[in-house]
Parts: sequence; structure tokens; C-alpha cells
Amino acid sequence: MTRSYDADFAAFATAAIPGLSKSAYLICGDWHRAEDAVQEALIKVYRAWPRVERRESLLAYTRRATVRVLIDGSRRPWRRETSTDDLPVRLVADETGGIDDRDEIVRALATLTPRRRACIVLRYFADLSIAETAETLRCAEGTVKRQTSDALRALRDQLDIELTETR
Amino acid sequence: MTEQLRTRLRDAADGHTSGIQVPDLLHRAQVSKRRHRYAAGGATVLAAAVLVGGAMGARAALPENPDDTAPASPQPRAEESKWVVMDSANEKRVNDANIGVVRRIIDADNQYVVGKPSASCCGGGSESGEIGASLYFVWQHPGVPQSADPHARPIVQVSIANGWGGTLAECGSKPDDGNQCREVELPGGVVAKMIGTKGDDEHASYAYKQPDGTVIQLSMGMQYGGDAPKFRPDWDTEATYDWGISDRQIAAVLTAEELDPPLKQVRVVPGMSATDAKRALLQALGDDAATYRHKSGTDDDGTKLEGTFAGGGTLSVDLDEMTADLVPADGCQPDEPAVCEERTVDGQTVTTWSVLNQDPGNFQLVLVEGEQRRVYLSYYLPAGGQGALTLDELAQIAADAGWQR
Repeated sequence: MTRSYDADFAAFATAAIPGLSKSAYLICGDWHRAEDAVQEALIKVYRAWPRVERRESLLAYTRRATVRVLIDGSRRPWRRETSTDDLPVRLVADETGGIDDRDEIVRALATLTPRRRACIVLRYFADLSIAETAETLRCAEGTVKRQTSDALRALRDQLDIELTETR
Repeated sequence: MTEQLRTRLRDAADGHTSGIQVPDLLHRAQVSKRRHRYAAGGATVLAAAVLVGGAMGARAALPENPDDTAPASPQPRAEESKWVVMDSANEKRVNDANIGVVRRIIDADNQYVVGKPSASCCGGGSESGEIGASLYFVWQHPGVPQSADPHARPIVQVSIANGWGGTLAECGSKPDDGNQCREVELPGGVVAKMIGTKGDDEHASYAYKQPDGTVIQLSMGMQYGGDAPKFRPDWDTEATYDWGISDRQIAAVLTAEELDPPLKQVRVVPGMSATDAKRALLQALGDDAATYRHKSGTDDDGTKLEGTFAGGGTLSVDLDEMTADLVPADGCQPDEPAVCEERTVDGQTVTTWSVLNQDPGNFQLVLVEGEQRRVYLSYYLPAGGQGALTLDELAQIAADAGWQR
């Protein structure tokens, strides 16, 4: 890896980290784990830098690696995740209701399976299309539609907002 | 409208400043790159260290400097192993033998057992890799009229499992909330777990772990179907609960070494290839495996196969219908309780993790990102025990081209 590669990687990482971290946080509900996942993904990207550059969008590649780390991580037996109502960090309620709202949406996401959660975050936070979401999750577009629909239905039951799937 | 959802997602993610320092990240990436080179080249050396020096206890560590490592020796071919499938015919044979053993102990004179005993397979706590089969003896108490409803008759049930997880809930399979059994001493110094009191309850159950790890549980009073009517109150109480089974007979059943767990086992025998092992695994697991899913609910699309080995351990195979062009491996993070390495087997990159000193036991994970499928093996070992498969064998199984067809 040359010094130029290192500089390019550093520039890319600096630009990508904020957005990726937010997406990762919404998927896993824990800032520490989210940042771990982003760093792990970026390290993979660094190792594969020449290959990745030639092949596709760096950001899409890194996002896919991040999501993969989060979903795979939840499958590792020593870090097995189960859907839960309790988030790792409980936020303190405020009088404006802003933190409560934030807590509520993250808490609602936590009740979904990681893949469904990822569908919601990629579609409605990262603004990916169904095709891009399918590419990120390495599954069929029909799977994304089904999982998104299921997730929206589950969220609708928990949140006081109207949700309909958009194409 | 999903616009509200978008807004709330944005609000939830705002207000946090990332703590990731890019210079530190770059340094970690550079170190990872060097380790990656080392891991690919020195896999054999590390594997030997894991399997011999670090087996089931010590935590090995990757060297910081690849120049400090010994030269890599050529990748050896995994020693051939032979697998014998415990298919349905074998299962029946073992069940029949077990039924004969139990019957000779508890009803040698044919006084109590009604009809032909039956067997079922496989219940228990599959999450911990322990599964058990049960033998059922419909029981006729002396002096008690036999119920016309065949599902309301008392039974004696004998469960045979390869660990506590395969037993009935009261004595082990749900240790958090179900282990209500107390210790009792039976004739011959046999200390068993027991729940219920014979004579004042409809349910008495004894469980005992044999020296080879097989757990035998003998229960009296359970009725077919689980929701069958309880014993009729107008029955003569003393006669109803006179099962005709002495404590000496109970101890004899619990300690009978002839009883084998007649499960869907795959036995490792010298002489069979990894390809045949995969076939054997699939054959042994049968149709049930195709519909098995993760209980953790983390993967909606994956298929999971699982087999338990007579020689120790439980192997799970997860297949994801994903093409893979990501860099293989999750990386070997120093803060994870695992020894990680990469190797090449039959042209495929195989990543392995050896995780030691975990509860309930040690386990090894093997990942292949194949062209058609992602193959992910989880091999659980009993706590402190040796598994039937080596890391080389696991790598061979994961890299088998048959998974990609």
C-alpha cells in the first residue's frame, strides 16, 4: 500500500464515517458497536482497496461491508443478538419530547430482526432504492420488498405515524 | 407517509459526533493488512499452535511482526475420515435395543407394560447442541382400571440424551427456570436428580449423567399428549401410585451403559473423504434440516443444518444464498475471544475462528464465501472436551465444492 493509497483512503474514510456511523447506529442501536462496525468495514476496504476502486462505488462497497459486519456480528455466538425492548443505552426523557421520540424510534427498530432493520434504514435513512438495498444486503429485490413491508407493518404498530411502503 | 419515518430516523441519528479517529483507523488498517498477509502464509503453523498448544484452554495470539514467524510448511491434506450415518434404520435398531434394555430392568415379568413401547426422536435443547430421544412404555398399574382413552393412560418415559440439554425441562434442558430437581441417593450409591415424590404426586422423574456424558432420565406418570386428563380421583391412591418400580430398578436404568442416544448422529470413522462427510451430514440430517432456521431470528433467509457427533461436539452448517465478492473474513480483531486465521483449501479462502473458554463450551467457526453460497460452520464442543473433528477437517468440509452446487 503506497503513501498515495493511504492518503486516498484517509480522505475517503473522513468523508464516509459520519453517514455510515449513523446508518450503523440505526441498524444496531448502539453507537459504540456502530463505530466498531464502520471501522471494521473500512479496514476491509483498505485491505481490498485496489480491487474495490476498480469495481464499484467505494461508498456502496463500504456500506455493504458495514451492514455485513453488523448482521454477521449478531450471528456470532459470543455476540448473539436477540430482539429486545431494552436498548443498551437508555436515554433520559426531556420535556420537549425530542429525546423521547428518538428513543422511541430506535427502540422500535430494536424489535425488528437485523435484516428488516437494515431494510428500513437503507431505504428510508440512506435513501437507497430497492435495487440498491438488495445489492447491499445481497438478496433478491423481492426479499427487500417483503422484509420492508413486514418491518413497516411492525413499526406501524408501535409508532404513532402512518407508514406506507413507497417504491 | 414514510416521510415521517425518514424525519424520525434522521432525528434519531443526529446529535452524535463520531469518535473514530482516521489516523488511528489508518494505523489499524495497516496492521491488519500485514496480519492478513501473515495469516494467509502461516496458517498451517498457527493451526498447529491452536490445535496442539492452545487446545481447549490457552488463548493463542497472532504475532505482531510477520518476520518473527517460522516459515510456513506446505498445507497438508486433511487426514481422511470416515463418517457413518445414523440413518432411520440404524435409529430403529438402536431404539429397539434400548427398549429391550429398559424393559428387562423395569418389567421383566411383563406385568405392567401395555402394548408395544414406542420411541421418538429428537427433542431437547438443540440450541446447546444436546438432543435426546425418548422411549415410552404405557403402564398398567395393579388394581387400577385401564382407561378407555389410550391418551389418558399413565406411562413410563425414559429419555436418553447426550447431555443435560436433551432431558426434560425439570432436570436440565432449561437450567435457568426449569432445573427444579433435587439430589437423591439411590441404591448402589447412585446420586440422581429427582423431582416429585413417588406416591404423593402424579409425576416422579429421575435423571442421571453417566460417566461418558450420556444423560438418562426416567419419568413416571407422564401421559401422552401432555394435556391428557389427570389421574381420576376415584382411583385407589395407593394402588395408583404403586408403579411396581423399585429404587434399585430405577438406579439400574439410570446407570445402564448399554443405553445409547439413538439420535441423528454422524460418527467419524477413519477412511472417508470430506465430500462423503458432507453427504453423510446431509443424509443424516434429512428433510428436517432443510427447514431449520436460526432460532435467534437474525437471518431470515439462511438454511441451517445441524448434526451431533458421537465423538463429541455439534456441527451446524449455515448456507446463505448470497454471492460473495466482499473480502473474506470479518477480520481478526484483537479484542475478540478468538484465534483467527485464513487458509486456502482447494482454491477457496477459508477463514476460521477458534473460540476458547466460552460458556457452555468451546467452539470453532469456519467461513467460506463461495461463488454461489456462503458456507458457515459452527462447531460446538462440550466444555473441556475434545471434538471429533479437527480444524483441518472443518476447513475441508466448508471448502467442499458440493456446497456451491
